[in-house]
Amino acid sequence: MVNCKELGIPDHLHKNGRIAENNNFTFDEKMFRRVIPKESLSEIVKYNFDFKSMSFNREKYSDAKDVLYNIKDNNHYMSSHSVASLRVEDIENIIVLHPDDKQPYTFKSIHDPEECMYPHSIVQVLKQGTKVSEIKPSSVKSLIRTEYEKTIKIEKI
Amino acid sequence: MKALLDFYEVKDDMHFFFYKHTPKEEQNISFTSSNEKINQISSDELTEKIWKEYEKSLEEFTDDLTLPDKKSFYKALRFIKEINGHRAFIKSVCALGSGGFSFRFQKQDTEYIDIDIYNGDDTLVFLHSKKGQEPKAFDLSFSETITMLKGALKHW
Repeated sequence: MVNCKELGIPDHLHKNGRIAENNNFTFDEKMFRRVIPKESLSEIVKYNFDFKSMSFNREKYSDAKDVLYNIKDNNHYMSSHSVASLRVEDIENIIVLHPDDKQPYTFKSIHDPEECMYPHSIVQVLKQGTKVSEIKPSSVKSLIRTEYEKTIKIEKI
Repeated sequence: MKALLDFYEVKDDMHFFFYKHTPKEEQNISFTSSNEKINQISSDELTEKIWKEYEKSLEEFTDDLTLPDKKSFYKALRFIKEINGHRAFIKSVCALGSGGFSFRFQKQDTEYIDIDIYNGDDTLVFLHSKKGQEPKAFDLSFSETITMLKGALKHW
């Protein structure tokens, strides 16, 4: 059993038996992601995002800086990182068509609590409404990146 | 710093050997996005930048990101060599969290072309974004990418 206190994760972020809440996302809710700082938003998006299953923290259950707590290894607070945010609306409004079959790639925010990080969520990739584990061809990823670049913000923490 | 670009066809490990034996002070070349500086940047500095991005990604990428691999690293070196005369338009070089490297060619603040060099296959992405227009992205072979890029840059 993971001891969240020993990891230095604040109490309010522990799961403590709470279940995932997927019916209370609002379009203007922010999704926070820990990012390595770079010189421009374009580079931040390029460097820090893949478009598989991406981890975020929900604003409803956390402050921006809470995403800097790391539950996966011994470096428990990543103060050298920045926090980027995207609104649920910005994520879920993105539609990019596959260049050949013209089926749409879309994204869904899913609350996916971890034992020591209740706000943890993922953004899932859907193709024609069905979950997929990766995006092919690469040009689709490049187009998604241009959409992220338009709306991503760096939070003041 | 010894020119690396002529080495790109030799055995893969040569590059890693070379960098491992390059003195730290020589590796510490600054890279800035200001146009003035970029105009002066040499192929070696670009190569150095790619290498540093590669090294940083090994240290910094989390488990939901995809590391660039050697293949994309050498493809990026080959790319630099091919576009040597157009270096002045390069605004940034960045490792991609989805594997590989990306070069941004920028014309003022209104138009850019990203060349994304990915892991695992021979396809590169040519993405053109112009203010007021939908960005367009194409999956192309290496030679098609070079041809398309050079064609586009002629009009800049």
